Amino acid sequence: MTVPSPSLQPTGEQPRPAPDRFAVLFLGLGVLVLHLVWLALDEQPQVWDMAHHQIRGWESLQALAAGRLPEDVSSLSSYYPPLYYLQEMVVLSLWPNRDALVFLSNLPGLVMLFGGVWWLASRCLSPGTAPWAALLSLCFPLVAWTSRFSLLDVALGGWVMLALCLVVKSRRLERKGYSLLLGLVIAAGLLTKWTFILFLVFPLVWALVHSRDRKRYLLNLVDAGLVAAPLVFWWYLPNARNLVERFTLTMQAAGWEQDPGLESLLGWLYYPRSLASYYLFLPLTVLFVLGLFLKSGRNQDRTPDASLIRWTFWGGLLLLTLLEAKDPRYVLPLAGPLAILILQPWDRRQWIVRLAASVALLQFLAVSFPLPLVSGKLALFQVRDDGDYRGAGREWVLFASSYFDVAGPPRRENWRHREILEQIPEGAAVGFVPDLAHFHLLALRLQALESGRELGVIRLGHSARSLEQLERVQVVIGKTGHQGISYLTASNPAVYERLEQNGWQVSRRWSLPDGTEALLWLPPGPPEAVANGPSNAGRSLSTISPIREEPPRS
Amino acid sequence: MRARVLILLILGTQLPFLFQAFHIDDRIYLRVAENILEKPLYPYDFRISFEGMGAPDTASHSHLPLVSYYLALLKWVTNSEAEWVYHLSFLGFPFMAAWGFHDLARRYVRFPLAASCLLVTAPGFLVASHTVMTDVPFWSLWIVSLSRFLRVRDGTATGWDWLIWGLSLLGTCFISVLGGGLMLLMLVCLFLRESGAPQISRGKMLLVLASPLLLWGFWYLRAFLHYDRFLLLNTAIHALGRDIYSGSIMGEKALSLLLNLGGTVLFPVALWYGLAGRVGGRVLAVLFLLSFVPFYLWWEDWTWSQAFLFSLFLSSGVAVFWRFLSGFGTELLFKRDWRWLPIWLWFFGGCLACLLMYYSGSVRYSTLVAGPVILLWIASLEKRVKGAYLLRNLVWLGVVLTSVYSLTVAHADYRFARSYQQAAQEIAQDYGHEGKTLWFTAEWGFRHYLEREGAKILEKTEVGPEAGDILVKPVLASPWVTLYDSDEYLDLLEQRTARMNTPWRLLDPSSHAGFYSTGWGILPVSITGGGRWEWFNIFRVKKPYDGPVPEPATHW
Repeated sequence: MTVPSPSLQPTGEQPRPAPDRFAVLFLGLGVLVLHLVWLALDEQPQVWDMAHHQIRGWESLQALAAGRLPEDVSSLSSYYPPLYYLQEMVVLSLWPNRDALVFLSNLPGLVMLFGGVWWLASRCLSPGTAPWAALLSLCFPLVAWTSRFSLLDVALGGWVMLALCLVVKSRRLERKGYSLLLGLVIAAGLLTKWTFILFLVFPLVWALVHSRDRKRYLLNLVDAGLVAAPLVFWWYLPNARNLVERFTLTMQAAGWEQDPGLESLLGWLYYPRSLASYYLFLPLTVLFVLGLFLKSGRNQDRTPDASLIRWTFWGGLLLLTLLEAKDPRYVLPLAGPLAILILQPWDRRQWIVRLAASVALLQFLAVSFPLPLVSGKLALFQVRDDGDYRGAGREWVLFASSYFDVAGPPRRENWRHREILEQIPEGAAVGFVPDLAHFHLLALRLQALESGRELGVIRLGHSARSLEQLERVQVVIGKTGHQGISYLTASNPAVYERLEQNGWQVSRRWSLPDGTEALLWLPPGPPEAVANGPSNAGRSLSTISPIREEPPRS
Repeated sequence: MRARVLILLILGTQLPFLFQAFHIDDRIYLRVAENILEKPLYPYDFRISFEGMGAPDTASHSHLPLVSYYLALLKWVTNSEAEWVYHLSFLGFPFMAAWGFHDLARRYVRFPLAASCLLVTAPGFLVASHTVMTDVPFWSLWIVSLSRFLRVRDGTATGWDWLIWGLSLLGTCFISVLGGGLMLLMLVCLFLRESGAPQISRGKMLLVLASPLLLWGFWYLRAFLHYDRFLLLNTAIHALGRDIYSGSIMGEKALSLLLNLGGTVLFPVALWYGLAGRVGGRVLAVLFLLSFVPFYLWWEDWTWSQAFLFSLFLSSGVAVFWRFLSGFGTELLFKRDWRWLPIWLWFFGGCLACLLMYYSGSVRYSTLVAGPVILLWIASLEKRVKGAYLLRNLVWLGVVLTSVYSLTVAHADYRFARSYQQAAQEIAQDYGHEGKTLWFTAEWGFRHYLEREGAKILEKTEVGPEAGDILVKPVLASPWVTLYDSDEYLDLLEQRTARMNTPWRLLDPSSHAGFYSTGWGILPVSITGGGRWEWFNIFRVKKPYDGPVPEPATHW
């Protein structure tokens, strides 16, 4: 006979009846449906990294169609591992539609996150509270926003939750089968994003410390590693050198983006502040902090699984803080543990649990759709005219219905990529000058891929050297007004000036949603020369060195 | 039955290679043998020319002349230069090794026959046994000597055992000064024995043990009087001139030793299942996987298969070394079990010699410790596998896997040797009849066969070739730069590629293979990545050398 663990039977509280579970399941499905609705309503082009990830998905599909996927897997992407792109490839091969691509690629991650939180929460919360924790994890604003983009973080969050569940299910790696399964999940996590390992370090150390049979734990951990290593090495080894170089670059980018370092209080507070600002907002932050105080010290839940969740959460925060490059979405894999930790102190006060879930749901709706009275932003230390997104590293957001101009309620905005693409002759090399969230070269390239075209496009204006690259292109796409992040577009005015000096002409203009105009520049000479390949200094495309794609942001 | 198995195995692995071309340093021992027929008392009394440099005599050559005396005897008896005559005559050494090792292995394992089979089919041993160099005779005499010594020490020896022990010890020491290591080993084993061992007459044994010292004393004193120098001093100067104790070379030798232990004694996978238990197997697997990382981060010109071999050999070699260390610690230091002392001393002494006595790593050096590794492998299996049926099958599976692997490597070496014989004959045929002299700058079998065709060696500072003469320079076979090496004196006529019909490589920088020396690559054996292997540049001399002539380059 199995004796139920005390944590499953809180004293004085009977297990919640089943209807709660169905209600939460229904609400969870509702969240997914709302994502679909949002995707159907939104018409903005993909933002930088999102476009990059979708392009990789399309390229994977091309490799699959050409029958060279196995040998190309390691070279499909040299910075981000390929698992997410393979997921995208599967979706695209079945349903080549942008909305379906985003939704179905993120669906496994969302399901793992939801199911993982539910299962793990049910080990340390009452059955009436655990489902609400799962729902909470899906409703955090940044989780909601990210779920509608092609980003790796939701998938990563799902793999982290699954790995935590397996650490528990394997009885701290005492059971061989689950340990080997953990190896597969570790491989999947690492093949999604290398930061996966940061979220598993502390749970594994905790499991080692609390293991009843450490030798068996270590043997099973090595076995899990041996299962994972060949899969992980498949992509990581061929890209190891590039990863090291790019990691250094990313760390340098942290400097350009002025991410606060460890020498400042802001650096240490970066992720707690990010959680409060982009995951919780004020009401849930208050609830979380109150819970921390109420359940600290001797009142703390000391069951092993609760302890594991705390170690995962605080350990993950610590390791992320130590990284120089910072971004609020990096902490998304801790959304699951965070949801459990918020509700844990209030487990015996079901009305607070339900209130928290209701607030979370309301916030979810407010950041997803334009609701009356709850739009806009309320923040401490707010950065005004924040074209460079510096606020993400400084503001303490109490509530915001959107995440800068990147995410928020759906918008029907036409940034003219399709029309611009139609004006670009086949085979022409394109220079793209602006670098806005929705108007950048990757979005144009993605549009081309979706239309079945290959487009060689380079960024002009990212540095003074890009003036030399003008010779390599036959068409230039520009824009009036705001050009994008200041330190990445500092040379844009010089590019426009050089275009005019060289006699380039604005051939077409389109009005853009931000009130400015997109410009299509052509070199001097008859237009058909561009159509035939390059008139530019009489050079043919084949003589122009390969067009490099702009590297993604961190 | 047992003897028949062993005989068949040795014949099966030796006879197909009977016609193997002379290779690597075979030429040196054959040349000494020729001189012995002229000056029997002074085998090294002829001018040496090696790697483009000369010396008035060959006496400071690293080895003592027993093998050359044997070759001289063969030549005197048969008056033949045919390869098969010498290879057939060297067939006795594998038999000797198998016989001695069987006797030795009976003391330590329940499968002495399998142990002997493994020894004669170990890749390092098998490849070396197809040459006429000193390695296999040295190992064979070492093994026989040790096996008889243990009988004498244990009080179970007959008069024949005493005689065989004494003669084989003398033989070992008259091939190489490394025989001193065997003497030391025996000396230690004579005094460190388990309690309760039968009493023996140490004085008589010490007398036999001292006999090589008398031999060396006589040999080097006589040489001192003849050449007016202590021979080993020049040997040491030559070795030290190569900076053999620098950190990088010591590191290279240590790495090579580990790779050779893992890759040229037993089939590496057999080492894994024989030596690694639950924990060790996992550690090996982790090490194996981690060994791939440097190839992707820093070392660029390695193919996947070469990186795989490196990782496999390294992890297997580490397993061997670790098992010896842990066995030494637990059995000897904690349990005070002296039974394995000779084997441990043999292993660690051999490893130390590989690090300290040579200026590069080589399978020829590390195979000295093949015997201890084989014994440890079988003993380890016997300890871990309880079922007799499974144990027997695992041991013999190791023999089969090792034999197949070794034959593959030996075949590659056969082709390697043959390619120089073919090239020398073809080049001599194509260019030797023009009435002009054929010169070359090369070593190994290529030199042997070119000299046999009447070609002349051109040393680094030598002036000799006339206009119209031909100069042949290989890329791999130890070429050197001469006074003529410029467009002013040479016209490239042709580049001729050596023929090789196997992907396995034993000596090839582009494949990182350095079976005979780490100067060419760190791996004992490798698989080609398709890079160019050996080719021969054939030049026509435009005019006689008319520049300044430097002092002749010498070895000391």
